[in-house]
Amino acid sequence: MNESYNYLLKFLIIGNAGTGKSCLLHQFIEGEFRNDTTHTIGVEFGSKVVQVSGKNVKLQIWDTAGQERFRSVTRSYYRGAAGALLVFDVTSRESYNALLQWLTDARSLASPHIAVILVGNKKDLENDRQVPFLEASRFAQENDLTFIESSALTGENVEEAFLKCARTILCKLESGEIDAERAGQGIQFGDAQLRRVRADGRKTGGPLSNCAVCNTS
Amino acid sequence: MSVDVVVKNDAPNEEDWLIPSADVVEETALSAPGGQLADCFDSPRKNTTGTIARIEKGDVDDSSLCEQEDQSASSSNEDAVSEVDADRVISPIEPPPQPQRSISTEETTDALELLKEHGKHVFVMSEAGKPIYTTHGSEEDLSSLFALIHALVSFTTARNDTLDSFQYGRLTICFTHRGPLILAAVSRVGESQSQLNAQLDLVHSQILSVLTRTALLRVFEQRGHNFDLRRLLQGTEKSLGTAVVAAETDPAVGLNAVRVLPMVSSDRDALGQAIVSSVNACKVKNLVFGVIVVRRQLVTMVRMKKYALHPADLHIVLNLVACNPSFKNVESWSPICLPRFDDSGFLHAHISYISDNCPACLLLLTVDRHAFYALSEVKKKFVEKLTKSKSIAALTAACNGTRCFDLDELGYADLWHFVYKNRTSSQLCSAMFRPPFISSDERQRLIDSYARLVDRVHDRGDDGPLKILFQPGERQTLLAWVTPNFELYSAFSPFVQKQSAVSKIDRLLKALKKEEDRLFLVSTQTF
Repeated sequence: MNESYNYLLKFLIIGNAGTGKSCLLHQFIEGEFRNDTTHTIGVEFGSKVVQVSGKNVKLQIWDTAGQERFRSVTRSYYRGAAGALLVFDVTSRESYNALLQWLTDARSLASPHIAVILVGNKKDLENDRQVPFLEASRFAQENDLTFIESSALTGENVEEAFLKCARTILCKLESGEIDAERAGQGIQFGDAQLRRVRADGRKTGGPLSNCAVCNTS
Repeated sequence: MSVDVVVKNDAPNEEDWLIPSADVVEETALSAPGGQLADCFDSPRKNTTGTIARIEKGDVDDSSLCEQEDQSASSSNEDAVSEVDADRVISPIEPPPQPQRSISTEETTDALELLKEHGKHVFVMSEAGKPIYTTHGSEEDLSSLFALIHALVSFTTARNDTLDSFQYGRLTICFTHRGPLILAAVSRVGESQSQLNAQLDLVHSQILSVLTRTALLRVFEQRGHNFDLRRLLQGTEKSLGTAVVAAETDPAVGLNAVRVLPMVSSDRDALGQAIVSSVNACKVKNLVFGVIVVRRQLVTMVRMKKYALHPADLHIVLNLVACNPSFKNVESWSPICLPRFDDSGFLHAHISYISDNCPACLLLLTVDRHAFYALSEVKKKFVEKLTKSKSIAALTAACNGTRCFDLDELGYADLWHFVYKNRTSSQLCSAMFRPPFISSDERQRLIDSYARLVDRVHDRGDDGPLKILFQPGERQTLLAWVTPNFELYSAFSPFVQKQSAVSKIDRLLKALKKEEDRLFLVSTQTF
């Protein structure tokens, strides 16, 4: 429960309903494919500590429901997110067409600097593919995203997607592109603050809990 | 051939309700239909909107109504749909034969065939007639049927009247028109009108629970009458369906009571205390309810002093947990509207299973939409406390233990089964099934006869419920006993004598009383 980590990053998983967001999260955390087909209700929460460039990074992941009626709920969780997995289903043109809307949401509600990884999920269903790799790749380039194709079923590229996102954020932090001290970006520095927050029962909502950088190890 | 049509006026008066059957039917069937709907089933969708347009304009076209009825009636020769045909048969004027009467698209035939496979259907549509939900089949394939239901409801609404139900033979069709939604239930498994109405109520509450009444009204206001509500209900089909199934298979739903997991009362109290002290330790305000459930049973509950959780709301919570096995893996945070508590807004629920080895689920319901982290902390603290005090083992054991009252302990061979509801706490306890109720069909048949029994006891207008009803039967003898404090429905061997049945029930009641604090949640803790 008290894993030590150097960084705490808040991640979002967004995209249309049925693209496999929860399955990606489950595959990432539990290392297995979840076979039940229920839709996510509201948001689900998961966390995992991973090693990124020699540092322990705790990912705090918000897996959001893709359905329209949850839009207002899930939007309230965008604030201060450091990274996002924007997921579409390579076998669904509709989910691909919705990407721009999701991206706009993420950039305007979370932070313009949010590190977004575009994930084309269900790459195992090659025969049903509706979105060619190149097309999605071009979309990613145009919108300054990193693109990766994954399969929550086989586990291919799932961890990579999360790690890539974490790595991007750390790079930005180290290069000074993101300033962890500027609250506007939802990133806070300092272990003292974080300890206080944790002792407080992890205060809600505010930027403190979102993306904190600390040295608890 | 007789058809009972019950039409309810706004100011109901028992005698006025029963309009002689022919009246209404005649009206619908009077004018000979024109040919304008002949292509009805060629493109059912187009036709649906056509009907809507007409009704929105305000001139409900009798002939079109009649013909729709006629068309769907002629679509099958027996069972559910053809029962409507009866209306036609007694109509005084026979419509002229139509060249395109038969169903021309395969889908529609298949869709109507499908209706016959099931004993019951629930339909939900918007006031404009747009299909929203059907228990079986797809809304598109059944759109002609939706149009028919809509026409029937609009027809009476246009005359400032309300269509309550049709009865034909074993077929009962009930209608509920509520807010921007129209709901209809069709059953030929012998359910009564009040049961069907209760089930429609349940479906309506389920829809409100994901949208709130305010949002439901607003969405049609803002996006127009033709808005396809299915967009907002995406993903809830399953929970709507299971809610209906639960109403059929679990007497607790119909009796508006909650099943409680049998558990040693001190263990149960410890759980409640642990929630309250965790909440206090984390200084969480605005928590309204804390509930632990397992397999559609309540384990314990804590609540804010002023508020109580209505059983109907609790069933929404139970249904939510039962329909979403995905809660098992992670912590979830979701808005949920409990219509009896407040149908205008959402509560926010922190939902998580207590541990990997314990099948019980903890729900913390708050009004604060930003309380996730705080409640996540409460949950952690709660689990710590349970682990320390070993309550978690007691809880897990109770979850894996008996879920019902074991009649074998009493040793009466001819008392086969019972359902007991505590009326003050709205909690329910029933016996474990034992022979002769072995197969699921036999069990379902018993539950159905309980439902009819409940109906007979309660559906007596102003007279109030019967006190005792002894009903000998071929398969089993049923005994109902209702007092201000409890309701008891029991099944005996058909050979039981009245005297002996009553004395056994008497002793059963004593046994229940003795075990009250194990079988029921006697007190809820507050904060």
